[in-house]
Amino acid sequence: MESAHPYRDDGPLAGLWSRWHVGGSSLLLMLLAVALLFTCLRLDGADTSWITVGGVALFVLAAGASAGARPAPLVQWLVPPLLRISEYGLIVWLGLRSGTDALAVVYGLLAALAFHHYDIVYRLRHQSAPPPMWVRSIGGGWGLRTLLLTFASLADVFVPVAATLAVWCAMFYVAESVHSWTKVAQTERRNLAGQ
Amino acid sequence: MTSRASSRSQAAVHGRAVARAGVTGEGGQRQGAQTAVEDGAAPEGGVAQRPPTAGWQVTSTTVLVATVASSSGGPAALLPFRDGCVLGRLVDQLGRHRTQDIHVVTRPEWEEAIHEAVPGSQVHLARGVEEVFGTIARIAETEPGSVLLVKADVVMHDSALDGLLLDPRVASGILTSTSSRYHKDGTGVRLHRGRVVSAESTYHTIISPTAVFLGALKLSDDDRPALAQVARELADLCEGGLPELWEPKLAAKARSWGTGFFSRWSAQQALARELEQLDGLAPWLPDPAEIRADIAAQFRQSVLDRVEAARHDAVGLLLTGLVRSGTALNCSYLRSFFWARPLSDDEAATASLQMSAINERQVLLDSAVKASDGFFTTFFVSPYSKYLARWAARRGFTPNQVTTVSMALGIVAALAFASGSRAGLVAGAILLQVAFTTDCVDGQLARYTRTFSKLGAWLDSVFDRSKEYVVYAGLCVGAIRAGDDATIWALAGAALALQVFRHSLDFSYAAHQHQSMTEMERVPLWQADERPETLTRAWRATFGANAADDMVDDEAHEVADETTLPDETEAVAEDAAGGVPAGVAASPEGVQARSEVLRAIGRAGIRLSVLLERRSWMKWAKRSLVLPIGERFALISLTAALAGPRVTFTALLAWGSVAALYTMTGRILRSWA
Repeated sequence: MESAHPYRDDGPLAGLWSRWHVGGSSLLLMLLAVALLFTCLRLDGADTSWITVGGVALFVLAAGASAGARPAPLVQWLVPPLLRISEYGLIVWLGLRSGTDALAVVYGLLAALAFHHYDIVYRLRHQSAPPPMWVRSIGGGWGLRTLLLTFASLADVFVPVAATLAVWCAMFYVAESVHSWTKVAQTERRNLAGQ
Repeated sequence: MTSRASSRSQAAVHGRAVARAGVTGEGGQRQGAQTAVEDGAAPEGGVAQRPPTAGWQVTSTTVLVATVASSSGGPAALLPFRDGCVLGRLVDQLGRHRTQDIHVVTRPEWEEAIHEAVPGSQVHLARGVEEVFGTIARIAETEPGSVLLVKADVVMHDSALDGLLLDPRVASGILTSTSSRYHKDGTGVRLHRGRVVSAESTYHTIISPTAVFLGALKLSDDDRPALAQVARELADLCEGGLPELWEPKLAAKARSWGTGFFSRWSAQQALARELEQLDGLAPWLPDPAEIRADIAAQFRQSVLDRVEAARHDAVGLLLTGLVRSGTALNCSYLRSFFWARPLSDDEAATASLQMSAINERQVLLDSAVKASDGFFTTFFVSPYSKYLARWAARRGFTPNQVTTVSMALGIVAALAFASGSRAGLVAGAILLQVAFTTDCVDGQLARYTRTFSKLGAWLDSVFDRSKEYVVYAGLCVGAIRAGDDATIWALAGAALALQVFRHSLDFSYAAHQHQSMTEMERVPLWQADERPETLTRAWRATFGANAADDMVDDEAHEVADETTLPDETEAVAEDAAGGVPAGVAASPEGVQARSEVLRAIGRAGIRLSVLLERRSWMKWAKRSLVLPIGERFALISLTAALAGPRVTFTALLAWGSVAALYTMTGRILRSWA
C-alpha cells in the first residue's frame, strides 16, 4: 500500500508529510511514535503538563514522517490501525484527566471520528473514491486534532473544545457523506428505471 | 460484516425461472408434464412476480463463441436441449437480463444453422481460433459499454448468471465454481479473496488451481480496451501456428483426461465380463464383445471430443491473457445451481435430466445465506432467518426497508438499555437480538431477490456500526441512572476504540493484499507455465490455503465471499487465506537473511494454524475467537441482561483484545511466510 493511503486520514498536513522523506521504514516510525506518546502520557501526572504536549508533538512528527517513509515490506498494513488506536486512545486518556463530565463528550467525539473513518473505507469500496479533500481537511486529520485537544487539555478547556470539535466534525462528515450517497442512490434508481 | 448484505444484489428473479424450478423437483420421468407447466404455472412467491430488473450495470454487448463442434461434427451450441437448443436457451436467458446486442461467432459452414436458431443476433464468421480473436478484438474496439463473453455450448439454470450480471460489485469478473465436479469441462483458476490471480487455458497450466472457470466472462467498459488488446495479442500469437511451448501442454492434458476416463471404462469392462458369463443363459442380451467395443469407442470419442473442443476454446485463452495482463477480475460463484457443457446428444439429454433434479428455488433460498459467517450467526440465526427473508420477499419488502427496521429496533434497544432498570436491560437484550436477526434478513433478502445495490450495501454497513455504538451509549446512560459513575463512558469509549482498531486492521490488511496483487510480475502469454519464481507463492497456495484466514469478522469480506454458498464454504475459507503474496518481490538483498528467518517463522505459524483446523469444531472455535458481530451482539445481550453495563464493556474489552492480538499475530505471520 502506498504509505500516504487515504485510510491514514492525514488531513491538511498530508501534502507536507508525504514530501518529507525520512530514513527508516514507515512502520518503525509509527511504532516509535506510539512508544513516545505512551511514555510521555505515563510520565505526566494527573494533569496535562508540557510533558504530554511534548509527547504528542513527537508523536505527530514521527507518525507524520511515516507517511513519506519507505513502506515496511510486508507489514505496512499495520500503520493505519496504529494511527487509529493512538488517536482514540489519546482522546480517552485526556478525557479521563479532565474529570468525569468530559467522558460523555469524549464518547461523542469518538463516535463522530469513527463515522468518518468507516466512511473513508466504505466510500473507497463502493464509490471507488475517498471523501473529497475538503471534508478530510476540515476535520483536521489526526495530526491537527490531537494537537488541538492536547493544548485544550493544557489550558483546561478540554470539555468545550472536544464538544465543539465533535459537533463540527459530525456535522460536516455526516452531511457530506449522506449527500454523496444520495447521488449514488439517484444514479442507481435512474439505471433501474432507464434501461 | 457478515451476513447482512454487504452486497445487495437484486435480481430479477423472473417468474418463469422460478416456476420452472418449482416444478422440476421430481426428476426425469415427469419431464413431459414439466414443460407443459413451465410457462403457465403461477409461482407461489412474491419474488417471482417482480419484473426483471437490470442491475447497476447493464451488459451492453454479448459475444457468444460457438466454434466448438459436437461429437457428430455439427456445432455443439446447437445440440438439442429441452424444447430448443443450447444456444437458443442461452439467448433467452440473456434476454431476461435485457442484454441488447448479441453477437455470435461461429464457423463459416454453420452460418445458416446459427442464423436459423437465433434470428435476432449478429453472426460473425471465423475459420480458425485466430480469427475468433480478431473478431472479438474488433467488437471490443467498436462497441460501447461492457462486454459479456460466453461459451455458446453451456447450459445452466437461469439464476446462474444473475450474480455475474447484476452484482454491482463485480465490475469485471467470471462465473466460477470451487466444486471438483466441473474440472473436466472447465479450465482451472486460482482465486484469492474473490479475485482471479491465475488462470489456465487449453495451452497454459497453473500451480494449484482452486476453482474452475465456467465459460462466462464479463468486462466493464473500463476493461474493454484490455480485452481488445489481449484479443489482438492472441490473434498475432496464433497466426500461422501456435507458439511451440503450447502444444505439449494440450497433449499432457489429453493424457490426463484419458486416465480419468479409463477408470470409468474399466468399471464398465468388468460389467461386460459378467455379461459374458451370462452368455448363453440369457440369449436376449446383446453380444458382450460388441458391448465392450462400444464402450471403448464411446470413451475414446469422449476424450477426442474434449481435445477438439479445447482447441477451439477461445474464451479460456482470453481469460488467461486478461489475468496475465493484470486486469482485475472478481468472481461470481455458481453455488449449487446447475451447469454443464454437453458435447454430444447423449450428454445433452443427461444434462437435461440432471438439471431437472435440482430445485432452483430451494437453491436460491439456501444460497441467500452467506457461507463465511461466524458461529453464532450460522447456527443460531441463519437457519430461520432465511425463511423470514422468503416471507419478506413474498410480502414485497425491499432490503433497504428491512435494514431501516433493523436500525430502528437497535435504537429502541438502546432506549430500553438507557432506562437503567433490570427489566429495561432484559428488554434491550431481547430487542438487540431481534434487531440482529432482522439485520441478517436484509442481506439474505437482497441475495434471494437478487436486489443488489451500492446504497443498500452502504446503509447496511453504516447502520450495523451505528446500532452497536448507539447501544453502547444507551448502556452508559442506563448505568449512570442506576447509580454507576460517569467513568462508564470511558469504558464505552475504550470499547469503541478497540472495535474501530479491529475493523481498521481488517480493512487495511485487505487493501494491502489487493495492492500487492496488482504489483505482481506479469508472465508473457507465449509462456505456458507460471514462472518458477512463483513457486514460493505456490507454497503459500498449498499450505496457506488450508489455514483459513480469520477474516470472518464483519466488514472484511470481499465481494466473492458474500455470494457464496454453503457447499462452497470450505473452498472459500481456503481461498480467503490462500495464495498470494504480500508484495514479496521488493525486499532488497541486505535484508535477505533476515527475511528468510521471518519467512520460516511465518510458515511455522501457518502450519500451526492448519493443524488447528483439523476438526470442524476447532475451525468454528477459531472463527468465534475473533468475536465477529454475531458473537459480539450475543455477548452484549447476555452480559447486559444477566449482569450489567460495566460487565458488558469489560467483557467486550477483554475478548476484543484477545481477538485483536490473535488476528494481528496471525496476519503478521502470514505476511512473512
